[in-house]
Amino acid sequence: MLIGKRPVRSCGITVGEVLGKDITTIEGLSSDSSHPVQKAWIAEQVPQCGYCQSGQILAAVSLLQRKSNPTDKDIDRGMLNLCRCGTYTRVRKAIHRAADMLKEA
Amino acid sequence: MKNSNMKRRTFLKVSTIAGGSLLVGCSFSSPKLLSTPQASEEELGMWVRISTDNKITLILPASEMGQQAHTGQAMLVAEELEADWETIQVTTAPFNSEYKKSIFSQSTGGSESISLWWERLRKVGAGTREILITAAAQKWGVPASECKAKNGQIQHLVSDRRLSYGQLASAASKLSPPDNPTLKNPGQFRLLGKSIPKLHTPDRVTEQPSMALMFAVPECCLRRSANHRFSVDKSNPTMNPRPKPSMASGCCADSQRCRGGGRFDLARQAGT
Repeated sequence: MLIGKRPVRSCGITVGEVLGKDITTIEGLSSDSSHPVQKAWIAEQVPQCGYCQSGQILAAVSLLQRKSNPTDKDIDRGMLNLCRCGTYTRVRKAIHRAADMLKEA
Repeated sequence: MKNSNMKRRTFLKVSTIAGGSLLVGCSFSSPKLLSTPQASEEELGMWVRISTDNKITLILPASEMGQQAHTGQAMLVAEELEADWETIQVTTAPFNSEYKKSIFSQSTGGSESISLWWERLRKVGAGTREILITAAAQKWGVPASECKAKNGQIQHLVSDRRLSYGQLASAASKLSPPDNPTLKNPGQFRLLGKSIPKLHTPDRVTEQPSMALMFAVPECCLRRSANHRFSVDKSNPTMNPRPKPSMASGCCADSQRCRGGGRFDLARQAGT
């Protein structure tokens, strides 16, 4: 999830730490897959099992807020979520696609 | 061949459900079950449900754990059914079903979701297609040989009349299923062998409940909360909670929603 614009692992923080903070979860991004990152994720058919994907998507949203046109290197450095299915190459493609969509918007 | 189970047939049963929808069930063990007039959904092994508004729901034997077993199995049924892929919805079969009694059990693994079900699921699709054709032919008063199934419709080739599967569901639900439906030749396949988008992708990017740990199960020690994927119940706020016996049984009694993964994780959490 995002606290402000910062991606964090929700399992590693307590409720007390987020009191009064602005929190965005995958549900807050959009419920109908209309966010550009979600659209890019569908277009590139990124998820396999899906377990890590809400974290991947929110990390990508955060990365694109910091870097609107990330290089492969930026993505590799900025995306630290682990994916047991190994969807990393599609994650990369989807982030590039989302960056393009955000530019056009 | 000492195992008499080696050669199992697929017995189909057709019935009507609320609102005139068509329900096709099947059994791999006994045709007797299917002659029971009101065999419940749980007693039958598999279903194609076609509602009057053209929605087709496939209730599938495999669990979906990311390998797209559901997409693959849905393709097997949809191929033979000549269904419009856009109208296909899938769901997992409940525990209490014919599957458990069959040689396949309800396990998912070993790359067997397609190889084990390859012919059986296609037969279910083909049988459903054949009764839809029969229903259309009877409505029009024409020979079934002049009718063709295509993209969720039956077409009368001579007059070019068409009826959708939803329009035929009610009539088809009153027919007897074929004993041995004819399967398509691989050369006729439209879906099988092609790469198509995974059915579950939209759910995965909006995080719709699709995994064991993402359901809120009453009395279960692992709960999903608004901001956490799952959290430990406040009555058990440790990293390795031991659920009270009542909680564990309460959790697993809900076999519809708390599936194998939930049980496994619960057991692990309990240190068993």
